[in-house]
Amino acid sequence: MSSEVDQVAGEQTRSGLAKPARPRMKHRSSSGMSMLAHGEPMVWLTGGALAACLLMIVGLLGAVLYFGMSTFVPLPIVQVELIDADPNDDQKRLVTGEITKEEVFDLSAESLLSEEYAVVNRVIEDTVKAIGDENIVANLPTLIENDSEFVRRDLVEAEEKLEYYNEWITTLERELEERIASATAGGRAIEARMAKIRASSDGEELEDYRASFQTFRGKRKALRAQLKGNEDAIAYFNGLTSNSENAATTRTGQPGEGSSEDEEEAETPDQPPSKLQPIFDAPRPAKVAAINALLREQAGMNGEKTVKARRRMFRTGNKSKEVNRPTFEWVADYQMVPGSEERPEWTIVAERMEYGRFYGVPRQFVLRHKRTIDTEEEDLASIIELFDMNLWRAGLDDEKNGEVLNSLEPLREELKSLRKKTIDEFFNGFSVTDNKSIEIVDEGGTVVPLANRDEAKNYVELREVWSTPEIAWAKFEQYHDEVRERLAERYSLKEHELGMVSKRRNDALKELRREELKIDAKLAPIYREKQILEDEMIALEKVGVSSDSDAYQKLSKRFDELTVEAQAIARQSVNLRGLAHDIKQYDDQIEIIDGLIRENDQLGKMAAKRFGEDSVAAGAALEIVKKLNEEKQIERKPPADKVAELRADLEKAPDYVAPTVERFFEVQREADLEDREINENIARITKENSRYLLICDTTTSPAPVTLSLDNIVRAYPANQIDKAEAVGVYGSRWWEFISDDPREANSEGGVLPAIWGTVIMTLIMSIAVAPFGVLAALYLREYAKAGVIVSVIRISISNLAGVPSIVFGVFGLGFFCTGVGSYIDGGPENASWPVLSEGRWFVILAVLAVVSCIAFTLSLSGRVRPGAHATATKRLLQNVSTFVWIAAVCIFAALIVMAPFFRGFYQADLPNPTFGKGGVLWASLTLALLTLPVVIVATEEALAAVPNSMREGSYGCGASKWQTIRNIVLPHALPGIMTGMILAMARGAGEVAPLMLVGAVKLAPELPIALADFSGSVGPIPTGPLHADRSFMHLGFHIYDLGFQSQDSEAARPMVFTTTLLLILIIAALNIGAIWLRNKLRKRFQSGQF
Amino acid sequence: MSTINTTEEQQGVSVSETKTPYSNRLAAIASGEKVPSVIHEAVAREEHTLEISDFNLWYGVKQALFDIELDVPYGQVTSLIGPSGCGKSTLLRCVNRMNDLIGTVRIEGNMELNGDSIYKVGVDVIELRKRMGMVFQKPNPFPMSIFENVVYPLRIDGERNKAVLEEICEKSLRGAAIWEEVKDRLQESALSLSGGQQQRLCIARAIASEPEVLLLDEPCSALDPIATGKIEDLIGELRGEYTILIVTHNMQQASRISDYTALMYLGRLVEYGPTLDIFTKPKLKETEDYVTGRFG
Repeated sequence: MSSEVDQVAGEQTRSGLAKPARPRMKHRSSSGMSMLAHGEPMVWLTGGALAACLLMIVGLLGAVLYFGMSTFVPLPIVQVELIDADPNDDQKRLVTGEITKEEVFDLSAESLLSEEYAVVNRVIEDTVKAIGDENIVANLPTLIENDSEFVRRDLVEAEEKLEYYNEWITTLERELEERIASATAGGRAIEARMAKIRASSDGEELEDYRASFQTFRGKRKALRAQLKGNEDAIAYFNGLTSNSENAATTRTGQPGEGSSEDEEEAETPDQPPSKLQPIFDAPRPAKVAAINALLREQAGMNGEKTVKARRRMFRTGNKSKEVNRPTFEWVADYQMVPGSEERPEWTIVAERMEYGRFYGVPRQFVLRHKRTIDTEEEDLASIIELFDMNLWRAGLDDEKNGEVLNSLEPLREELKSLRKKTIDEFFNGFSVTDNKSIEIVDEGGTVVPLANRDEAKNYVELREVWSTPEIAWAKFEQYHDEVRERLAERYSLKEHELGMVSKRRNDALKELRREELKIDAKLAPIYREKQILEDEMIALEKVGVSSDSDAYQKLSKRFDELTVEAQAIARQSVNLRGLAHDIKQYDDQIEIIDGLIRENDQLGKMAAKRFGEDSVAAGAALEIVKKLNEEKQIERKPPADKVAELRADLEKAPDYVAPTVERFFEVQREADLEDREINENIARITKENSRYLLICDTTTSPAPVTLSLDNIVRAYPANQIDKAEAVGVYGSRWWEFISDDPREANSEGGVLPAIWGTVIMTLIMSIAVAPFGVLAALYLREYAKAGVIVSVIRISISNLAGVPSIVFGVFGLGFFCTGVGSYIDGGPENASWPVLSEGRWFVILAVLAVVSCIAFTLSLSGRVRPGAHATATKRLLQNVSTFVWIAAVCIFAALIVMAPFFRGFYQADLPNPTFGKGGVLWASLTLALLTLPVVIVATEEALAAVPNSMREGSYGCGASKWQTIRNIVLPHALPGIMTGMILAMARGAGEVAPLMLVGAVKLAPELPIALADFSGSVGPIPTGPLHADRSFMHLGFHIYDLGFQSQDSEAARPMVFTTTLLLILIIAALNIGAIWLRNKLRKRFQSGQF
Repeated sequence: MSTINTTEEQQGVSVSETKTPYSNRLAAIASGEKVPSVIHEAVAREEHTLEISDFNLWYGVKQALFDIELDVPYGQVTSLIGPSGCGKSTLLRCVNRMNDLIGTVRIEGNMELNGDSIYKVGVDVIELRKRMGMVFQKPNPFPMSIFENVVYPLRIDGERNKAVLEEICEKSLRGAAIWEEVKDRLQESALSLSGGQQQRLCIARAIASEPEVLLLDEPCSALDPIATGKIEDLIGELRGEYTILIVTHNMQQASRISDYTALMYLGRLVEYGPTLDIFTKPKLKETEDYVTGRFG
């Protein structure tokens, strides 16, 4: 039937169309319309849109690539000489450095105001040369007048603007007043109020106009002042011309306007006075007017509005502990002495561990040799010192004193000859050569050449000095690598081994804290009950019950019982940690004093032996030592007493903590030994490294600067290196960037921790988001019955993807860090969550049991047997059981959240939070939440794309729903799910804003994954090398930090681009990995074509 | 056995004698009249694997099947023919309760597979489906190897023994006449096969669990003539071993491969009998019109 209708309708249409068919054909023949009809212009439109998009993307990537890649290119070093303000002193003002930026700016008299006299004159000269007017001084008034003409024009413009604004302001004001007045006059309160509200928005407009008015008034004032200045200048220069005409013969008619000009004049006689001298010497306002006029003239001649000048930014570096100088300097071309620009051959760039870059010419390379002092010499010296310093302590009379001093003389002689011998031997090992000189250093630190050696002095050090740049540089290259290697060793000792030892110390301390907590937990209920009893007794007293009454006695008896009970647990609440820590401290002090006493004893014995047992000197030595040690014993007493006192306190703790305390001291002792050994190694390396010095001349300080080799990361003579070496420097900088820790407030060094942080966070995020997202999508797509609720949920999830990421950050901070994290740290109390009393907790537990039973029964009885239709009762039962189940789950959650027994997993660390602060785990989970909608939506789409025939085939084989999902649907949807994961990863890895709230920090050299430390855990779950509680560095946050928080923004800016490039590369690498995985899966599950 | 056991004569007479306002049965059916089916005597003489009695089905409020009485004979090929939308596929899918997957479906009446009710309360659908094999219009091999495809029904049953799986795989593939073609590439993806091979693979999968009845839902509609020929040959080979219920659009196919043919129209069974009878001397004029291509 319907087909018949169609047919009829078709015929009607056809017949209806028959008539206008011809004119339409004619119409179509118009070529433009035909093009539109064929859609050809759309090709250009669509293609153009694509081209624009590509341009933007390529432009973005290109810019990042260019700036990012160019950061590490070694630049040549340029040195220029600046025009000197004071030609009297010989010192040149030199600027040396790499040129990092170049820009062209408008040259104006104002911008020159702060410049040196000579520089300004140079600009005037150049301008006059450009204008090419022979008789410029005479014409100057005309030029200034021209300038004034322009100024007047601007002035007129400004006046007009002012008038315009003024008019508007008065109109608006009047209108407002009228409106308010009329509304008030009408007597209707609401209208009046409305009028006022409207008036306030108009008032804002009025404010804007007023602000503009003020701006233009300021401008007008400035223009008027300029005009006035110009007039004065014309008057001045006119006066000048007539004066000079009048006094043409004398040629001395320079009008002395101020003392400064007089001084300048005094310097000129040796060179012929310039024709421009009158301008140079004009008073400041006149000079400004003249410069303005000249610049205007020059610009006008070139058809421009202003004269441009170039300036370049020099990276000059050379900051130091003493001098905090700006490391970047602008140098305009007119500030330079013409032709002074050069590339000094031997200037090197040194990148230092501290204080950034250094530019200087190597002057000397110094290799220090310490003289080894053998034990005999040392013993002699210390015996002599003992007597020299402490003879008075022996309390001898003058005669005996003299005797002792006499017997000391041979020792002095012996020491002297011994020293001379060893010094001779030491010095003989070195000789002066053509390019090497030798300096020697005595005890006092005085440095003299070897030739000036004073036989009587005790020289402790010899320095080999190479003094030409070439050799100094060659020596630097020879020694630098080994110094750096030693430095790396020292770094590892310092960072890792010392870190491990201090971790052991902390663990022992935590053990003690745990014992403390155990005692406290036992005491707490007793104290609580005691408190209640006390309150009750006080209450009884208040109502006048005598303390003899039965009720009162009962309470007080119980109180006493409790006191005894508490005593049995611990004599008092003990601060184990504090005690142990203090005892350790005092023990350390005692040990040091004991060491000194032992040393003294030994020294005394040695001295006695040397002088002969019975000699006066021996007796004196022993006496001195005795006296000294007595003093030391007095010194030793207070800490010893303190230790005894503390130990007594420790006794009050229950006996079972004793082993823990003992273990603490044992661990501390072991740690001390290890610390000492490591520190000795570090000291040895530091000493060895401090032997190498590079001394450089710089243009930033008059005195040569000494660089220690271990402070130099990398150095190269920038103007000498060839292409290959430049590539080497470039590569080594990149390698340092991706493999090293940052230094200099992140603006130098590497970003390894940030790379690790980004990668680990992204991976944890992916691992966290995948199961949740996929399971949720599975439920939504495979199990949930389509309906309003499902639609609402689906829309909500999609909308969640559009929520600003910082909102997730705030949530993460509030929920994960301060909520869940604090709960993990120290239970509900620590998280400031409500805590149930124990009684109530058990009551609710019972309620939970009952509710679960009810829910279970309900769901059993509401179960529909397969194939049967659900009756209304059954459906009701099902619904009710669902709600009861939900209630049960809620009660269960409440029980866990408010558990009074749970005191957290990291209670021993409190009040320092472990998980109750930002960390890589919380950051990952926050981002997982952020990317959840992406994963859910993508997974749902992938599931929807699985052909229904697959599912039916599987069901047809007798598979259950879950078997079908697991065997057929999920494998088929996996590539799509992976695509969702890729999108999620890309979004998560690039996110910065939420991370700032939940754990990304400026500097965190401790990586969240530590292969040396397998003690990571999340609550009771061990996570091995993953320390999920640690805060971390993130490349995105690093970029923000470099770009906006850095103190040295010029130095940090290039790093911003490099870090951006790296971030893009890492995200790309993560994505490529995921795409590779997806393609592998897709190949496996590719749907067939037939 | 169906409760309303009318003879052909009675039916034929009753229709022709009753003064219906409609020109023929088809118009009566189209107008919603309750028109009894004509079932040939020969059907009742067979032993029945599947018995469908008084079966009604609604999609929401729309009724799609009306009072279907259909007994599928054991070891024979029974084909369901009829114009589009007549409910052939719906009926077929009801046999292994595939329509359960559609939420709005409601049924009345019963089906019995070898005496076990399919729609009785308490029937385990999963177990029930394992007793039937189904092949769909479009070949739907799973995205796994050929071997895994064939043994899928056993895998989900929890069979782990490799020897058993291999034996059944070979047996099924031989049964589906595709063994020679794929025996060297059992581990290759099933999706690499051609359409006809894929469909035979699906048949192999369907017979792997030794089903009591094989349901074929237009198995050749997506295939070219050569592949169709092979499938038809295969059905011929399977005859006797399996009870086969096949839905087809193609009247020639029905006449070539089936022993019994049922004609359906707008949700009602019109005539059901031995294929030869239906095609050469149908009891109803309407059937003759349909098989000779005068309508539909």
